[in-house]
Amino acid sequence: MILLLYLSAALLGIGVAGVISSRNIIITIFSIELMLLSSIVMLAYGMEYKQGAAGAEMILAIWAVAALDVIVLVALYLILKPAGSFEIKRFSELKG
Amino acid sequence: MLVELTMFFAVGLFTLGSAFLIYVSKSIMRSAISLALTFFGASLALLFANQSILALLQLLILVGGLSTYMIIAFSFEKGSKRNASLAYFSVLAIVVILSFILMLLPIGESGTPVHNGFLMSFESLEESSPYILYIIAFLPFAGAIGSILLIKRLVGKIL
Repeated sequence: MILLLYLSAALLGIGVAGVISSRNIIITIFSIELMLLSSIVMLAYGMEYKQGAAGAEMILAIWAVAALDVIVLVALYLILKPAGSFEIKRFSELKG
Repeated sequence: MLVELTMFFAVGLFTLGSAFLIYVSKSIMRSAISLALTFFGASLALLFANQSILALLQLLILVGGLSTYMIIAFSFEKGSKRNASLAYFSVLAIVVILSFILMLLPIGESGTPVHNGFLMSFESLEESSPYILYIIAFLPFAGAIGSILLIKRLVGKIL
């Protein structure tokens, strides 16, 4: 169903708009998750179009990246929560 | 075809609406629940590409694993007691409505009727549509997220 491509494009657009416009670190990472989700939907449509399993391994890789993204998100949340602010400027305060 | 198209538009609107709610919500907890609903909607959309296994795996990994993890982490947030209660009832309502809709619709893989809604027996489960298998896989995770939020509401905090 080609409408899946439109859904994927809409999700990508919402994600890009969120990354550009949001000043909150958490919301920015949520937007990155949305962009990863849009790529999953697009790859699934590609698998249907080509009638094959090529692309499934890329979806697995995207799931792994999404999982790592969420782990980083929760770590950032727990680090930045005591100060009560999730402004993206506070990235500079993080020291590894 | 018309039923499938209508269902796709409903799923697409649900997914995009949930994605939009991420930015509208004032609480991070609510944003996380909206993201979980977006994951759920996208995994439903994978069913329309005839990728039922991928949809189930996405449900297991993104909704069952990551979203539950995020919601537990964000439930430490102070002052989210009332929000968690509201979110719990919202998730529960959406799950119940979707379960009823998907189990009442007699739609198979090729659009042919395969069962009679709730009258379907477990013996015919293997021959049933991927929608039914999908919702059966989804219900435990919805129950898990709902239970976490209910504990948060009752006890006040988790751990």
